[in-house]
Amino acid sequence: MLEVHHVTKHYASRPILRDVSLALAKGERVALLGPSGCGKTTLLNCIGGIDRVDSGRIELAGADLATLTSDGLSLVRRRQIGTIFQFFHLLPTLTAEENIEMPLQLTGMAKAERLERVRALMQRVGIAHRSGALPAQLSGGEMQRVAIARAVIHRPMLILADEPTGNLDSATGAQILDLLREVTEEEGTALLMVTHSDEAARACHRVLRMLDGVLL
Amino acid sequence: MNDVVLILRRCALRHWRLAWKQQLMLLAILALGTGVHVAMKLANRSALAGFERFTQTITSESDWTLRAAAGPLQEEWLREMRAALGGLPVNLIPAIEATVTPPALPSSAEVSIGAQPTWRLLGMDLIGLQNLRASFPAQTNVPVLAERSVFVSQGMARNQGWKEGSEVKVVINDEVISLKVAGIMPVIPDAPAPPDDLLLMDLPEAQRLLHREGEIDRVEVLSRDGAAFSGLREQSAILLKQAAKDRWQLLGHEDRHALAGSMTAAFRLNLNVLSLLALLVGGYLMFQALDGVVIRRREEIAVLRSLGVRERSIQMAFLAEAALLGLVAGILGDGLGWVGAQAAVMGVARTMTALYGASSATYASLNLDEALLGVAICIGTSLVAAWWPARVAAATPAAQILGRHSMHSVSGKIWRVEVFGVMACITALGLAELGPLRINGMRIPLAAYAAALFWLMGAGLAAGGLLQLFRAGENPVRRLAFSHLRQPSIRHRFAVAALTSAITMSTGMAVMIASFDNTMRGWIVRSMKADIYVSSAGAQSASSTSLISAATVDEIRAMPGVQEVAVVRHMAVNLPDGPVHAMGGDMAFAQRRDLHAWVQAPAQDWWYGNEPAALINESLGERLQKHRGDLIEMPTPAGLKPVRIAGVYADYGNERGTILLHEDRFREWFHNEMAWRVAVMLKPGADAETMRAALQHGHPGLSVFTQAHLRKEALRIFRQTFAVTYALEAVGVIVAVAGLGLALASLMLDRRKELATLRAIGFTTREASQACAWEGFGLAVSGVVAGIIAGVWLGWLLIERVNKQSFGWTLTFHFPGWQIAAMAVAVIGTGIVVSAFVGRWSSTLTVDREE
Repeated sequence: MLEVHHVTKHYASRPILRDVSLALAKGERVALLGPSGCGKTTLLNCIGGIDRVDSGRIELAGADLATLTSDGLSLVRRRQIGTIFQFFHLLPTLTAEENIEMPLQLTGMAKAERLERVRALMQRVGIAHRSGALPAQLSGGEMQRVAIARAVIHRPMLILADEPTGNLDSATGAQILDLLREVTEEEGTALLMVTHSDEAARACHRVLRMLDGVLL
Repeated sequence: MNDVVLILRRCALRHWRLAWKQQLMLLAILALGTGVHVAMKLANRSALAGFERFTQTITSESDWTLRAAAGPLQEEWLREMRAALGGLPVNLIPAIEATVTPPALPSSAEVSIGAQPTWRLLGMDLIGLQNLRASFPAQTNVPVLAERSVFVSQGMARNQGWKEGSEVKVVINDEVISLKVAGIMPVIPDAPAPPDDLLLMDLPEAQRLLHREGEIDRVEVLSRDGAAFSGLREQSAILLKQAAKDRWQLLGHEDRHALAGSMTAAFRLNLNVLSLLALLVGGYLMFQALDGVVIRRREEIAVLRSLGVRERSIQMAFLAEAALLGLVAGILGDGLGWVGAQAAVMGVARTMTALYGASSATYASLNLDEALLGVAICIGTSLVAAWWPARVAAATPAAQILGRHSMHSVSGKIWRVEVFGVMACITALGLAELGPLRINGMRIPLAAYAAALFWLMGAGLAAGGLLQLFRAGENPVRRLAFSHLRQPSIRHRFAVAALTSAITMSTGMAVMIASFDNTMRGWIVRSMKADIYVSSAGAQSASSTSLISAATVDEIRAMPGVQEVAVVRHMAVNLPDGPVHAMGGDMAFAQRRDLHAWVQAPAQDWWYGNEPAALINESLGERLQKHRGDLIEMPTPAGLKPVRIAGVYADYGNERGTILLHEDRFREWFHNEMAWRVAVMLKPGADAETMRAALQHGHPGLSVFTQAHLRKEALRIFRQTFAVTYALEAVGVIVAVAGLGLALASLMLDRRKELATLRAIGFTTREASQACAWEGFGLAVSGVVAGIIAGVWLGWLLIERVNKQSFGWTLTFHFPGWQIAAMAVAVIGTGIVVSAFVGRWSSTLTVDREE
């Protein structure tokens, strides 16, 4: 489903990723561990098409991301990828429901179907009672639930999560990990999760370790 | 304090060096605003100085000026003045003054009014001037002049290419006269340089050429005050007043300055307000730019805070940086202002000449006081503009920024500025009901100006409320964009407020000018019904004293094809609160032709009857607070005459005020047979253009206009006076749109993380740009809609209050729909383009990385 072949990436001649290769199968959960600055987020950005690799190849569902235009990459993210951030990054002027609805709107789904799906998912992730709240009015756990819902609402084949529990207390973090596991299993979605947490790593099928841009 | 210096030295100034292009831009913005303000101020002062009397060039500033209350002084009164002063060491210098102009080049075409320069012919007793040798350098040895000889200033000689012995042709009244340059006036140290439009002639010769033997316009009184004669100035004033018997008035130099100042006060106030507007928009751009600077340096500020720098130090450092910027920009602005003033002074002087009288200014100087004031204003503007960004900088939450690298600011519900906006608007409505402030005969619409200010401020603040009305449908791009508008940040509100203020001002001015234009056109059609209009070729400005002789009028009357001739006579008289035009005309002709637009119509044939009656124009009625049926005391050479006001008519030709008498009464009181203007009605079938050409050919000293040309010229001069208004208005709107772009850029910088999120969830670059463009569209539409609505009322205020209280003119409200619509489309269109550009730029912003 996802194949990364010999990827390298430099910033200002400093190597960030060195010959990185990995593969993810459908429904597989993989944790990516490593110290700060080792290149985890850059790898996530390259897989998500937000950043381009210097050499090597990233294939998602058989499509080589390097061959896609900026708009093409946007379409890939829109349809096939969901992203979760450590600091949630909800759109601050949209309500929780509108934040979750946004990816479906981008795909052009009909309103009735969209709302039905959004409300069902909100119920599922336990934030239906907060549908009209703005991000600033939500707790950290609630924000991350909204972020997870936004990441899976369009049923992507891959979720990229950048330290999804890094900004949460341990109890809430555990709830979020459970939720992530459940929704990925229900939808058969692959998950690549950057984390420092052993607990988060234990929620995954496989753990990859990274050091100085090299996948160990 | 050490912290502040350290931040300035180590951080701010390094940013200046590293981002020098942005700093230069910032300096240029502020310098430009200051420059426009300084330029207008200098040009204004220079034109006003040129507008004042010229005599001081020759005599140095006199202690007193004597002038008649109405008409000229009689030369024989000089003996009485001298006798009144007894043996006091006081010099009396009689002078006669007239406007002259070079003759137009032979051409069959009609010329434009004001196309020819207006010069001043000053007749003084040159022999008497030799008594003032202390004030004159030795080389100014005044010779006994030959006939028709003049002295000219160095500037005039240089500009015209004249030297001693050159022949100079001028139009004096309706005659073309050849004069000879007898010498060039030297520049006297510590005395004002002779103006570039002055022709100095011996008094008797000037009187002869002007056909005013035995008459003088004024007498300059110079006392040589010293220890032996302490209080000589005051003593001579008392003696001269005692001898006056209402025949002459005594004016000090303060009165002369005040007179020149008050006559042009409204025009200069208009320019000053507009130049302050330029400074305001400069400050607004500065605010937007500094706001962006704070966002860019947010991480640096957070680091400083984490290192222990106090909030106050950061705020002070930003303010100090702004003050430094203001200092440099102020110096640059002074330079720009001086350069701009050289260009502006000609335009301002031309307008002043057309409206009020001759102004000779061609050069504007910058003195130290003005330069320092310019710098101080620039620093002040800069500090005001930096206040909010500096406060935001100081309040930067270090932990949040260092953790997330960005911070989104949503104003929430606490910032209910709309309420304050509505309150300010209500205050404006109340202020609009108050009358003008009256000081020394001047009417200052202070409450109306305050109402305009409150209204502008209130409309700007309240306009943010419109942002709540934006609703998106299914489109995710619009939904995102409008969600930001429904929860506007302070930046959104500032952008809308600035745009609203600019559009309000532009709409208000457009409504006022269109109403003026519309009313003027109606008035011109109504009052200019004669086929041909004749004046002296020297009558190039409102202050022109050039007249047409009775003989020439008779010649015109006798021309074949002429059916009827109406003569208007003119005399400047001085009411206690200032000068006014006294005119005499054929009232039967005016009534028959229905020439007047009435504010208060008179009875039929009102000029018959024993009691003296007159029409007054609306400006005078407003100035004196007099109405139909009231009495006014009119100064005449024979003393004050009570005149009953028979009616009040609309008049957009002058704001000084006019008293219009029937011609018989005017001639009886003023003994003046010379004509000021002549209106000619032709017999049916006579061709106006043929008649005009024939008249012009036979009388090269006359300006002859057909009705169509004069109507066109009147409109041209009127529109010329608003040219500077249009220019500054355009600057205001352009700056507001640029400010919208800067505000959006700041918002995008502030929302960098959000942009990254958008890209992560699949927004394309184009969609991100479109979202920004839609946001800009919303801001522009809100600003334009609120601005137009507010501008209509501002237009009403300008017409019904400011104009009425300043000039006393009744204008018919006219809304220039197409013009406003074009402006709205242009501003919204430009707003969208600028926003899309910012959106495109924002999509190139680097996404924060955590490697």
